[in-house]
Amino acid sequence: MAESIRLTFRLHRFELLILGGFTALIVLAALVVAGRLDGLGYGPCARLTDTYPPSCEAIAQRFYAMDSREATPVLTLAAILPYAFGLFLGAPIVAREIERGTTRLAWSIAPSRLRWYILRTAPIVVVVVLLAFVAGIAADRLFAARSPGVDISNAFDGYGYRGVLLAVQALVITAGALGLGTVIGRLLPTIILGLVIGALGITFVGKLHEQYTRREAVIVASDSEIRGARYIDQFFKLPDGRLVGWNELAEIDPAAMESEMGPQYPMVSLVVPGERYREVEAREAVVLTGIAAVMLIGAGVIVQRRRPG
Amino acid sequence: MTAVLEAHGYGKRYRGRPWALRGLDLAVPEGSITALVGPNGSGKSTLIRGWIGFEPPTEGRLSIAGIDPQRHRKTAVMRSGYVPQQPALYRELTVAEHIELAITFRAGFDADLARQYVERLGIPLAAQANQLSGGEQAQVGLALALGTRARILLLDEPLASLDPLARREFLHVLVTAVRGEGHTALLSSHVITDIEQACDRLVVLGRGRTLLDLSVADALAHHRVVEAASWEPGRPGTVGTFPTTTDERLTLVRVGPNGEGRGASGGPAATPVGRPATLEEVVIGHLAAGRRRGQLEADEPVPGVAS
Repeated sequence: MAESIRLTFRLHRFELLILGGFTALIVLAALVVAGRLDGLGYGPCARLTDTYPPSCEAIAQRFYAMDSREATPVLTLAAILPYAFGLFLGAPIVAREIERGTTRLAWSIAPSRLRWYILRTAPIVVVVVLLAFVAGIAADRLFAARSPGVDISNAFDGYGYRGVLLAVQALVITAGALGLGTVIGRLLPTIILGLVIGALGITFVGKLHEQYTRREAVIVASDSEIRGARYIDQFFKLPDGRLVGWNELAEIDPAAMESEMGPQYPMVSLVVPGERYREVEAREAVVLTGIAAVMLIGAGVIVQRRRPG
Repeated sequence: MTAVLEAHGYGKRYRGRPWALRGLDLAVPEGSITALVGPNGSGKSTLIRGWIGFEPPTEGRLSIAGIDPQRHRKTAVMRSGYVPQQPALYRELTVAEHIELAITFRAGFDADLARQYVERLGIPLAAQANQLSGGEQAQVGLALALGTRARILLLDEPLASLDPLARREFLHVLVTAVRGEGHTALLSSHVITDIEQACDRLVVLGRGRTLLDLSVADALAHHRVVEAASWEPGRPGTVGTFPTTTDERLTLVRVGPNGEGRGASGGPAATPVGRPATLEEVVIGHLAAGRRRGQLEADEPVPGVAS
């Protein structure tokens, strides 16, 4: 087993080195930037709600400048990681073998293609998940630093771009690209199609989950403290208690829309409280992991049936 | 004679393309080294890939050591060693790592035997696959196939890209291994001279069917060539006419065991005709005949379709 894992890593050493190095850089950068943001001492200022002393103004300026100059690029790179893993590690596992014809050798020696598939796939999938998880933890740390005063484990700040969801996204894109490569049997088309389908798939699942989560959202006054909550939508509250959006209000009370001060109805927000972060995150992770599992099993079935190329 | 590779009415058609093989009946005897010869596209690779379970038949069936390779692919793979047409080594791995990989894929893979063959040919175990010549890659492929200790070896044009010396070395290893262990080998190839030395049986495929299936000795004993100009085309025993490199046209004639042709009436002629055919001429004559038959079939009017 150890030998087969070693050989699988040998077959992908170039991609593993590049992506492993890329991940290490992102993790390192995230930790350094988080430390630098913490070092500015903006936390106590961020917690202030009423008065904002002039000393905080200067710190805030430096904090937000550093945030956009250093933290945002690091987090953008972290968000790309799942796609990079999927396309450059997931896609080649079977597609490159079929394209180069090595499946003819492997499948003529291996009586069980399923065993071959598991030996070739499992080590890569485990590495992808581990590396992406480490990157997710580092992203967690960086999001915590850029949201001082917020308990990041109970807040939706950076939802989908940190923590376990980063690892699960990497898993699902890797599984998708692997499955696609098994069908197509050519690397470049797999990478291109995988990129498109992976992005669309994650967006679709995200939207679907958002619709689901919307049913569980609560209404809070828009001027209330909603830090860490997941914002879903905003409404006007009519005197009769109805909640309406801008378009609906324009139909009901056109005069209110034409007022110079804007509509004078109180505004409320539809949010998912930050305390529910873990639960919502876990649910999306389970759904995405299920999709990845289906794709991995599907790829295994195709491997059993397809020609070696 | 026990046949270990059989085809019964086997046909294969790829989507949107003409039949690669159709109505093929074939039996490869145990312990033989059989050459499978035919032009490009005659279905040699398709047939070999069918026996190892890579290609499901469109019609008919194949059997390898008595089992259907589609239904029992694991057993088919266990009973066969395969060397593909193009060397299919992992360019990232060394020769030694290929052997280690084979151990992880297949219980009972004889790594020592595979290493012995590789070392005997002077191929360094530490060499990266992409640094090997085409001949060396083919040899490594053969060593891996032999390391499976399978009783049946399926070799899909492994000689195609090899220089004459590499071909000779490859065949030496193959023949020694097969004869020594009592294995059966099916070798598809275009290189007739090599086949003559290594194989004891010859199967010629053309136009999707078997054109000839004989032992090499019988193929040589029962064919002679005559100048086409001196031979009446429709005479009994005529196989096919083909050009030589010197503007000459020869006709391959099927003859009796003593070289005697048949007379115009079909009975034995008094004297042997022409000269003994080389194996290459036997193959070319049958391929020419197969092509001619194919043209005649293609020219036949299809019922209900105006010509």
